[in-house]
Amino acid sequence: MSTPSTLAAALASLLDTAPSWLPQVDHWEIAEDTDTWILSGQLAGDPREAKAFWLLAPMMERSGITHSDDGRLVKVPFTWDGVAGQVWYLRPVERWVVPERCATCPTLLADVGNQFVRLGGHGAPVICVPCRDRMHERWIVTACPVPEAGDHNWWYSLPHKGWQCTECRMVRMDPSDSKTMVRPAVTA
Amino acid sequence: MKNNPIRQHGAAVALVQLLEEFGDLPPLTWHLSNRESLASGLSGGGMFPDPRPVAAAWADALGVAVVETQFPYDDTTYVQFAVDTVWRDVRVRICLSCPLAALSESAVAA
Repeated sequence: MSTPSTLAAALASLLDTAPSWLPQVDHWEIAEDTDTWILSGQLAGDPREAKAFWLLAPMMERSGITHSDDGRLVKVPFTWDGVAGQVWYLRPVERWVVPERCATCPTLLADVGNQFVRLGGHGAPVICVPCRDRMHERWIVTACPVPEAGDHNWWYSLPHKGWQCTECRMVRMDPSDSKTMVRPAVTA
Repeated sequence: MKNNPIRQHGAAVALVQLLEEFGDLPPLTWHLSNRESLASGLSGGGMFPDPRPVAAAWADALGVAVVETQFPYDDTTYVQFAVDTVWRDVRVRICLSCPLAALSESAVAA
């Protein structure tokens, strides 16, 4: 049975040798778990899952012992100087935070019955479905109503909070009204 | 076989010596961090109903005093007993805490 001192000696030896199969570890811990002292380390860097398994692969191949995976916590065992240890990796929790209101209207997204969509990945604006449908209708608009400006393809631009032509980058509050031009777009 | 230097190695060697020299002291959970933002070196901790004698024993061994502070957490007042020193060129910080009420209970029990 391992004691804190034998685990510490094994850890010192392990870190001195620094075998190539050992990944970088943020925290090493010597702790008692249900009357057993264990040596464990947290894989460094909070990597994404694919990279974590890539980093742990040499350890898995070397140990020959099946790693454990409960869907949240992955533990890869190893032995060094006769002492058992493990390096663990905690899968990150993907949080999809829903904002209080639609990004383009005052609709409360949390209200019962209100449906919403996210316009992209993490950090992308979230809008209610009626706004989505309204935008979709306008996105399909292709003919510019301003004769001198030629044909425009209007696209609702959230950064500009207005309709922007995908061709000339002109921005308008309402693409059907030539007097509502607010400013030229400053971004590509 | 070495791939790169491991920052925790010095702390691990110090921990071996610490546990050899003070093996009769109450055992603690030990952390060796690799992050600059956290306290580098050795961090000791553990769960004790009354951490005062444990903290005092380690403080005596390391030749420093216990620093006692109170802090609120989740509507409860806790007491932290900290032992902070540099031992063999490695920072050693032991933090033990418990609810303040637990100390009153242990005093009554005694």
